[in-house]
Amino acid sequence: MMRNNPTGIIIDDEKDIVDNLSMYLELKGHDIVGIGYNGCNAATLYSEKKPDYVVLDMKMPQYDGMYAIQKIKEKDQNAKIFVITGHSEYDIENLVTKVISKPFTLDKIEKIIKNTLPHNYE
Amino acid sequence: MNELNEDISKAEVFQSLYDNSPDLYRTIDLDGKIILCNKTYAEKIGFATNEIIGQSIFDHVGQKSHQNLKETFEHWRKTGQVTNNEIWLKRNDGVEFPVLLSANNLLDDNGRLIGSNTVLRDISELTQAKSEIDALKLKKLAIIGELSARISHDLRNPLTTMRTSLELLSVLDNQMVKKHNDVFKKINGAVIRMSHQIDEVMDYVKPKPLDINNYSLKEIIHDVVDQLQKQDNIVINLPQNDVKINCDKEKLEIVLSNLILNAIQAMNYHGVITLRIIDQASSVKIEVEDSGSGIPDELKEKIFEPLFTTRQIGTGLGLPSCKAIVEKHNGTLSFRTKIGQGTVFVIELPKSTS
Repeated sequence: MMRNNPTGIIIDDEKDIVDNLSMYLELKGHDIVGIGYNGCNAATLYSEKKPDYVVLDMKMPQYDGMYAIQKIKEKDQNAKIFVITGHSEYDIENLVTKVISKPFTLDKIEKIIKNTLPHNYE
Repeated sequence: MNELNEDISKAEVFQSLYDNSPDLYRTIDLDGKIILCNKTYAEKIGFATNEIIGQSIFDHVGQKSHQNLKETFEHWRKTGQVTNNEIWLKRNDGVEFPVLLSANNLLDDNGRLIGSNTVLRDISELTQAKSEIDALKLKKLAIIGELSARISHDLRNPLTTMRTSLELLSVLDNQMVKKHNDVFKKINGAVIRMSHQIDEVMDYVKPKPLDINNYSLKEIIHDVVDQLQKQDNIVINLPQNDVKINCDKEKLEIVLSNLILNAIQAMNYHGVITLRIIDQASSVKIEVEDSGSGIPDELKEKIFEPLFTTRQIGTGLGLPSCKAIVEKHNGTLSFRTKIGQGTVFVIELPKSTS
């Protein structure tokens, strides 16, 4: 079956950000197949849902973004990970697809994701 | 007027004052040999008075003050007066302590110079207290830095929520947003201003490493000016020449927009700003000139100090942050100013960053 809509999962401990991002991306034709508020959800969701991409916050309680990145990459080296963060300390530019700093615009994130994924949707 | 009691002479009074003074007194000859000293001097240096007589002043200073004392001695020989020169004396057990040295000429009855009377004031306690205060200040600054970073970081999430919520509104109900465009612009503008202040604090407390690439200075300047809000009564003269240099474009843009905004404010939103690129052999200068009223003398020293600002709003971190960014590029940020004519800020960057 030909998949037209890009699928994504969104993980951030700030629920409002997850909601807004999810709503906007769906308006733009994405399928948000999973959301979470902690790094330990991220890895399990990723293997369950096998999304095209992950939007991930770094600073989360207990299991943070770093943990999630490691776990996800263990399963899939080529995972498309977009990190959204207010924290400048993590040195992860080389580990993930793109780092976007907070506060961001939804338009900017959507365009970045669109430009990174193979063009299988219009 | 009190008269001295007959049972005690002036000489005895002065002798008592001399010996019991909290300050160290010594009298030296023209070669720097000690010919007299008071009790306090002997006690603090740790030798008996009769041991001290005949020693050289250079016997009583530590290694690091040797050159200093030499220059002080020569200064006295030349000018006849030394006031409050800080040197470190050395006790007989090797321990050094700081004093303020003041010396003047000692003349004999014929008016001939025979040596010097020197007063040395022990400032050990003062120096100790000062370094304790400095240590406390540093600690406080570190705590404030951590706190600011934490607060700024924590504010980024709710700011993201605000910004993205506004965006969603405009997508979900564009008509409504268009109808009330002014109101939405105000909220958006306020969010952007808050973000900039947070960025300024975060950049100051935890600066990111430079991202260096080769860029056209003319393009950077033109971009920065383009992004400014249009001001009706401001004319901005742009440079027509160009120089390519290695720099962190984003950071340089922050510096330039800071300087230009400062210029606009300094001119009270009315006047001419001239931007120049001056190509030199091994460096390039970028000048930001305003037609404001200039910087008064008493403020000149302070403007690069963190938290100093003459504005009601803003973090006061603008200029110090700019200076830090330019210096990270191995460059310099300076200014020249004339009251009544205006100010020119000069960014000088080396042409190759090693």
